[in-house]
Amino acid sequence: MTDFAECVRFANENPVTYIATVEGDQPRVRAFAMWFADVTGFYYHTGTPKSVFHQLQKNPKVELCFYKPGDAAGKMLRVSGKAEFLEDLAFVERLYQDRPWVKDLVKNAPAGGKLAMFRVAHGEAWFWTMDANMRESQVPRVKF
Amino acid sequence: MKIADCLQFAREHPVCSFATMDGNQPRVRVYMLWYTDLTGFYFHTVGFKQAVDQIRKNPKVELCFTAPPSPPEPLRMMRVSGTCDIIDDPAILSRLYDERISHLPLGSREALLPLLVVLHVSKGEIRFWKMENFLMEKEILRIDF
Repeated sequence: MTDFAECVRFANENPVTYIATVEGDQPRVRAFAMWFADVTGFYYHTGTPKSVFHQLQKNPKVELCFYKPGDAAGKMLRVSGKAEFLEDLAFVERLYQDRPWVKDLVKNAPAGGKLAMFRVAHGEAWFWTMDANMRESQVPRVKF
Repeated sequence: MKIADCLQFAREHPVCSFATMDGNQPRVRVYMLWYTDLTGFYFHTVGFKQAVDQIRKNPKVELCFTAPPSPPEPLRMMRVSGTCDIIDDPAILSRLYDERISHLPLGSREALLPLLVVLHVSKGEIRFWKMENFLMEKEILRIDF
């Protein structure tokens, strides 16, 4: 039986995340380098000038997809939930410590542009493998 | 960047993310590109999957092809938004079976052809993203196809 700890481990081992958002009735997707994941969710950062920031403000529903290549088409972790923006300054300090290059991005941002951090803290996650390809609705979902 | 460069990028990095709408909930999964040419991007799946149902209800999709970082070159991304047609033409499915499935232990032609569909993404826009234009989204070149 899959548990959330397994999802967190897989995400940290395969941190490139495809994040899907909504713009009107048009889906959008791009790759993010996940900051970290732990029992409290999946953490990311971006900038307020970016379209993804505005999309998440209008509709916080997201789906994340992590992928590990391998035999038989590899393995995917899909996570659906809502993005929550983080205001706690402790996260900013931790981010600058973990990823000092973000400071340069913020410094060079267009006028008024700011750092935005968000997490997906609640939702449901499930693993896809080729074995489950024909019965995706029966694959157990992990609520978190 | 020309359309031919975009198609080549997709061929070189055929594992892509494929986003659809499920009501107002976005969905995304990884798909393997079957092929691409000036008429669009082609994928395949089975007709009873949730992704196909989502596309039938809302054919708008977005794809994201990525080239992993190769120092000093950072990660590059090509995003393709467009509409998706669902193709069930037996001749195309037969070609698909021959090219992509016949060598796998998945089932006979007779058993699988009725299940397969081809997803064709066309009539859209391509944007090519690099780290250096991280905060200049509006200035990124858009290519119609």
